[in-house]
Amino acid sequence: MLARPALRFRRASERELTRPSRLAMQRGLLVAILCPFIAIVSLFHLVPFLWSLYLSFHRWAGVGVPRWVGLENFAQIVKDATIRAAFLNSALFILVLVPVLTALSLACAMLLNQALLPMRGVLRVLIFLPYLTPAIIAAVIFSILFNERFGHVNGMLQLIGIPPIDWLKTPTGARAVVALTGIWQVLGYTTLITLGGLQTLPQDLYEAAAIDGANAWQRFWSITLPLLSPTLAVVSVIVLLFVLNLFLPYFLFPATSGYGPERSTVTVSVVQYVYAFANRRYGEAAAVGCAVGFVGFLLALLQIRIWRLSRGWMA
Amino acid sequence: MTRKLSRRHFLGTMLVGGGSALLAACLPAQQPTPTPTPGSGKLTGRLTFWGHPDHPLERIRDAFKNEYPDVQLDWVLTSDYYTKFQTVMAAGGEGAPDLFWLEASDVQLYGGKGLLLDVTDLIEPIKDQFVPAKLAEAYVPKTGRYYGIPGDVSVSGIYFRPDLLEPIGVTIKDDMTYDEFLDVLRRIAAAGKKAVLYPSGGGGVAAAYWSWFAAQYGGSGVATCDGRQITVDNEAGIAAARLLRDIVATGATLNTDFWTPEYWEALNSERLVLDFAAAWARGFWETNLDATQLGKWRVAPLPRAVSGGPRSGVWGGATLVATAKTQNPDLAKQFMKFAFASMPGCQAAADWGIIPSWIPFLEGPFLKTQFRLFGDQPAPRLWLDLSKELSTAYCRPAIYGPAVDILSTDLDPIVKGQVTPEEGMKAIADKLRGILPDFQ
Repeated sequence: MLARPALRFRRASERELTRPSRLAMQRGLLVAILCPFIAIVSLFHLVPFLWSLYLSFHRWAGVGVPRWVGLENFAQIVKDATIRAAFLNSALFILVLVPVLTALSLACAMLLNQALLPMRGVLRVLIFLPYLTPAIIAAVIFSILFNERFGHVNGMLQLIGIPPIDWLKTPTGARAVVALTGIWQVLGYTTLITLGGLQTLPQDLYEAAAIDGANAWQRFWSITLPLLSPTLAVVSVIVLLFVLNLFLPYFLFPATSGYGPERSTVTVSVVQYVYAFANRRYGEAAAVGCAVGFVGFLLALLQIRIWRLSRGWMA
Repeated sequence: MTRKLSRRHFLGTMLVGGGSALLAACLPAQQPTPTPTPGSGKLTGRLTFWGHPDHPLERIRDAFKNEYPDVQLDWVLTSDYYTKFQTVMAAGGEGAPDLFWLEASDVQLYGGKGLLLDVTDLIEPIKDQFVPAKLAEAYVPKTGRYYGIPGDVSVSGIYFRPDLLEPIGVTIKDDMTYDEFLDVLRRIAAAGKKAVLYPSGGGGVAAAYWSWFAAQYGGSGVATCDGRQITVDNEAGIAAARLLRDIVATGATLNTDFWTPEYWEALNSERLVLDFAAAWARGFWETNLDATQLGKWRVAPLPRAVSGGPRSGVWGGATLVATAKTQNPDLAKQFMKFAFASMPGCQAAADWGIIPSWIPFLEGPFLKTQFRLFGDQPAPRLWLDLSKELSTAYCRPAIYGPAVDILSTDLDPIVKGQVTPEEGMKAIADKLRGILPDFQ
């Protein structure tokens, strides 16, 4: 009974509207729905991006008219020791963190996917919690943990006869602390994504493999890994973006504005912030930002390509 | 007659309306023009201020409200206030607060570009009442005008523990040379104690020390006061770098980050027995030191770099400015004068922990102040004397900001002996010369 009037209305509407007007209405609706999104993206992403691009060819101290310098700011990426160190450190963190975090995410996800694992729900929440911790809090926790004199890490090392390590005052130690803090912070998020991917894998393949006598390693290598590779590709891109935005050193080494001992922890993200807002060298900071964006885009494409090509899993 | 609203009209109206609302939201709210009425208690109007949480201007605000209850004072205190301010000033200053607590180098940068309120008429009649070196920070040579009222005197000295130094045969004199001081450091190192903070890589601490030493050697700092020439590699600059290297080479310096828990632990455990510190640092020390440590510390002037030269240097210290776009210029000036050129304002600032640079206050109520950290030592008298010694040849022009960042990393190779002071300072100067045109 209730459906009848609605049905009549729909038929009448359909009669009244010609096909072009229906299309126009749909288009109008689409525009109306997209408008707020486009406005926000334009205001907070497109305009700043274009402004950064403009600034990357200029020198500007934050007041007055920017001064055109052509490609000089990009040349600074090679010439300026701090910017060069930032790119090298970020490259190092990418080389270490992308494979390590991808592998760890897979391992943790597989563990958390075990039906027999006790307190599985609690563990999933616990592993995700660090991701919700602000970077500044994470930095405080880790700088205390790795403190040379009263840090818990050195305390534990001493228990097994290893002398205290000057973690935060040597380049290698400082980089290790940044990497470990980064892993601690983002592992929960990447694990959750990997776990989501794992749970979509068809169980019948595993059952068939088990019937055929495949052991656990063979099931992992021939079923889990190939089917999960699109998810792992996403995870590796997320880690890549995380490293390119790595700002932790700024909080871990506040006395040196995040540069760390001998510029060992300065990252592209830190150098952009310090150059723009502390040094007022907006042009060079913008050039670094543009270069990072471009390199990041290429790296992400490359990563996805490699994942697709590797062993022809995606073919 | 009823007119049907077409879909196109509707969408158009919504878009225009939405866009207008968005634009309106982005524009700063228009404030009513103030009506300051001369005469105590009759002042009206509204002032805004941006600063960090727990700001000295909070106390001054409260004191001002006591005197002028009809004035509305809106203080926005957030940790990212400086970045917000830079952003607003980059956009031409529209929407900036009426008042701001500005670093010396930024007074030069913004003042030189006409983004700050010219307060020469306020300062000129009372300029002799301020510590000369601090007054110079409110003066912009490029325009020949004043753009703020000097705030914190930011004088520095040596904080030390006589009870721990005397047993190892060390006495800190009020007038000593750096050669004598280096000997003091060597003896402290030999006794297994630490003196003077120097973190890995140097950082801002290295830049601050270098700035003091350069001023003590008679230099103007990183550049000339008009900001036109880089002087970081002149004789004073090189001598300052050499002195920094020699201090670290004594082996006495403490390698930890500035004011971290490890730093406070070094003080509380009586491992760090001497350090350079600004006058304003006293409040932070009192907060972070155990109660048993208070009263045991003493303060002394810095050693002299040259005969008859200053025994102090500037570390930090800001200037209270009003922005050029303020809707209430007269009221802003009234507030500035109250804050740092009146007894109640200066007392409120001093209660917070900073030392105003207004001489009538320094020579009056300030001298009666007792500090828990320094026990019965008449430290205010020393700070007053040192503030008068501060070099007036030393400046913090607009280039000082980026220069500090470069110094904070590039002094370290000199300190470690990887390059000579001459080579190292020349390299720093070359970097600064490349960016100098943007800071003039």
